[in-house]
Amino acid sequence: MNVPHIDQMNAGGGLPLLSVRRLRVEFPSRRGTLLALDDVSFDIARGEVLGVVGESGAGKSLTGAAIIGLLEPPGRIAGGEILLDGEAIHELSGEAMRRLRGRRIAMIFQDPLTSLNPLYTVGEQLVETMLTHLELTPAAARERALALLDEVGIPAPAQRIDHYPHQFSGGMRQRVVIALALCAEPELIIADEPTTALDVSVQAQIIALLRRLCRQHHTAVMLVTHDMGVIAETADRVAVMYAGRVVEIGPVDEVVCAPAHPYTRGLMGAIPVLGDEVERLVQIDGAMPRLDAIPPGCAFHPRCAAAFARCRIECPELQPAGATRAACWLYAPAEMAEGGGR
Amino acid sequence: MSIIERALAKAKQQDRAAVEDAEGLVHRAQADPGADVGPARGPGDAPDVGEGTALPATATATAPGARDETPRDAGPAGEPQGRELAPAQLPAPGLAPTGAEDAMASAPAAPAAAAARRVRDPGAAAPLLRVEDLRCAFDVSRPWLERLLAREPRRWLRAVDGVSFAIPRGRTFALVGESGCGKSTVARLIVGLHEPSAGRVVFDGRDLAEVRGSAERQKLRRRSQMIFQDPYASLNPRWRVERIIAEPIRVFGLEKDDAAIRARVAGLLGQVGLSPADGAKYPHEFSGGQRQRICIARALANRPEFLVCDEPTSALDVSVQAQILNLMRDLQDALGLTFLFISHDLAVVRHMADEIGVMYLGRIVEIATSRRLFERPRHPYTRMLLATIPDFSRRGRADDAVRGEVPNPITPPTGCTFHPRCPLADARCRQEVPALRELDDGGRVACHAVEEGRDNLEAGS
Repeated sequence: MNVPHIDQMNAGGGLPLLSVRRLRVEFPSRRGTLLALDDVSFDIARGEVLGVVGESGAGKSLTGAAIIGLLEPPGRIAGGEILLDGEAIHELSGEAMRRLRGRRIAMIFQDPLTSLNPLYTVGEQLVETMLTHLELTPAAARERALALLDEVGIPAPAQRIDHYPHQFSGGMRQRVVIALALCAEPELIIADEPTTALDVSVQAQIIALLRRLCRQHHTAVMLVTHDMGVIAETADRVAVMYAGRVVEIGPVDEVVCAPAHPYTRGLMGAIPVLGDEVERLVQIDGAMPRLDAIPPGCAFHPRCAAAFARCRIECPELQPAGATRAACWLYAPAEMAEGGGR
Repeated sequence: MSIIERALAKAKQQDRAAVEDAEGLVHRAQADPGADVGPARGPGDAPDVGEGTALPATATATAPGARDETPRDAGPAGEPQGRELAPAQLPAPGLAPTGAEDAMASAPAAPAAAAARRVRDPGAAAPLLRVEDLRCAFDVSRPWLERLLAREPRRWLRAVDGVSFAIPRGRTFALVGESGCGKSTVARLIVGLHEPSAGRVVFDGRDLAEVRGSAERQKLRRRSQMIFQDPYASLNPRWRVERIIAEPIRVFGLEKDDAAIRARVAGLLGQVGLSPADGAKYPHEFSGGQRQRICIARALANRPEFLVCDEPTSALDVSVQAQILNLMRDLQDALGLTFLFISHDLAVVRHMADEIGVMYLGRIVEIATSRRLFERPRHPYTRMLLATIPDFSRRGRADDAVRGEVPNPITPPTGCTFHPRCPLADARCRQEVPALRELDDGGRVACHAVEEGRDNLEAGS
């Protein structure tokens, strides 16, 4: 398959750890097939943190679910491929995927209470995961569980290891979930809104912890969130999603400070910042289209101030735009885009 | 038998003692000279006419509905909306509450007032709302028999523990804090959804607890409204939007006939940037942002002067949040509304508020103007909260700026409740509850370290 628009910036010369190529995810329904993800492509290098940001309905969580093989039926991968270390994992059997899940790719969900089993102590859950994936004796696994709990910052792990999830506060629970994700030493962690359910002061701590642990363990992270602030603090690169497509991807500093795509620019302007007092926030009028009513051409054109004729007909692909890549006709190489994007 | 009877009697006694104990605490705290009673401004002080009641004739045009999520039908919004926004419909400021209902005299249109509002000096106008030493304790004891068997006393959760502030007319006061700090309880106390255990809520010079008679109460209630956090939960899914918005109009009997109500609902929809045709739809047909617009329209339906907004944008995406925040500011400028704005998001609060109160475990730990709070935060908790705000220009800040979690409010720490997380805590902080004290720059802080000058501002901020 010819893949023209993958950015290889941080691939470090070698093969990327995860490579998503032209991924399409469909939901067949009575009123026709809904295209939830369309032509999504990106790479994650080893040890790299890729932020995936977008508003609700952009398809960011779905991308994570597709990678780890947890698409809810009737959702299915209709095209493209997902390569983990060069191996196609999107067509693995259920059993092969189950072995890979947790071992090579782990997941952290938004709500720590629902991702821990309330009937088992945290120690039992950690040990069970390790015994499933690693060749360890139960005693060694418990030893390792203790070390992990200590590493994620749970005070007095020797006592806490025998506590049930409800005995932990929200922030502590999320720390346990992080320990659980790390316990089989995966190469990639998909963190889906890991801090959204937490208070701001706890959120800052969890983000710092996740960043530190992934550096130490050299684990790559796909960080899915709606919070640009979390991305700015944590990610190396960021992919901005809109209506099932990646509209901009690039190094985080560039995307945050000099966004190219009009949607990213609107998104950044809509966030109130502390530094300067502004009378009005930038507002992107309208809302994300529903899946059954995605406009033709560029899906963002009805809300875009810079839209011109071509945007209404043809869907743009990612193309170089300054230091990032943006799916926008303003940056088409052939045409001279007047308006310059500002 | 007699054993059980004795046990019963003893348990009742314990209960009574616990209640008295809780009340005693309240009274003792009230007597505490440090407890702050807000700026000493009498209710009768000269109301600032022109401030806050500006009703530019162009209100309709500036209503942000001009552009919106739904492609609006071009025509119909204009006319009824113009009527809706007629200045006559707002009570002139400073009128005695009894006259407010009939006060249809149009306020002088002051185009400059919108600009005046932005002069962020919260001392200028008389307070529309004053809260004095407000307290609210919830009984979180286990059921009576279990308590009896476990021989434990009643337990109280002091959700709000001596909160005082004042909001000048036409301004925005914000309460910020993490979950469980009591900010939403304050909101509910003010609009009357909970009874305070102690303290006063004074609206336009009248103590809400002293207002007797349902007619009087109705009159005061009409003047304030609330916008809730979750627009998915706060709209009746079985009612059409027009019925939802018309409900306050009917309840307060503000319009005589159905045609007038319909016209007013259409005007309100236009005012919040929806089309009058949207009135015939049900809430599920709208996106989150549009639903919050419906909530705002409903809140404006009885022409309140004061809006309590409890996390109005927390459930929304950022681009939609920006739309709603802009809409709220436009409406405030156009209608001279006074806001109590509650949020956990400091950046949003910074954008919206003139004055900010930072809450921690039921108390206000710092009150200051928006600018001062963000430029020179004094309380260690405020500084910690500010450290959590992502700064897009400064990546990889120190990881240890933030530590600890909010403790269980049922068993709060002794002394200053923040001391287990505070880098400046010493023996005094562990024993003595700090009172809010006025600083030379006009802000107020409840912190022993700041009072004693141990707070080393340079290193902290």
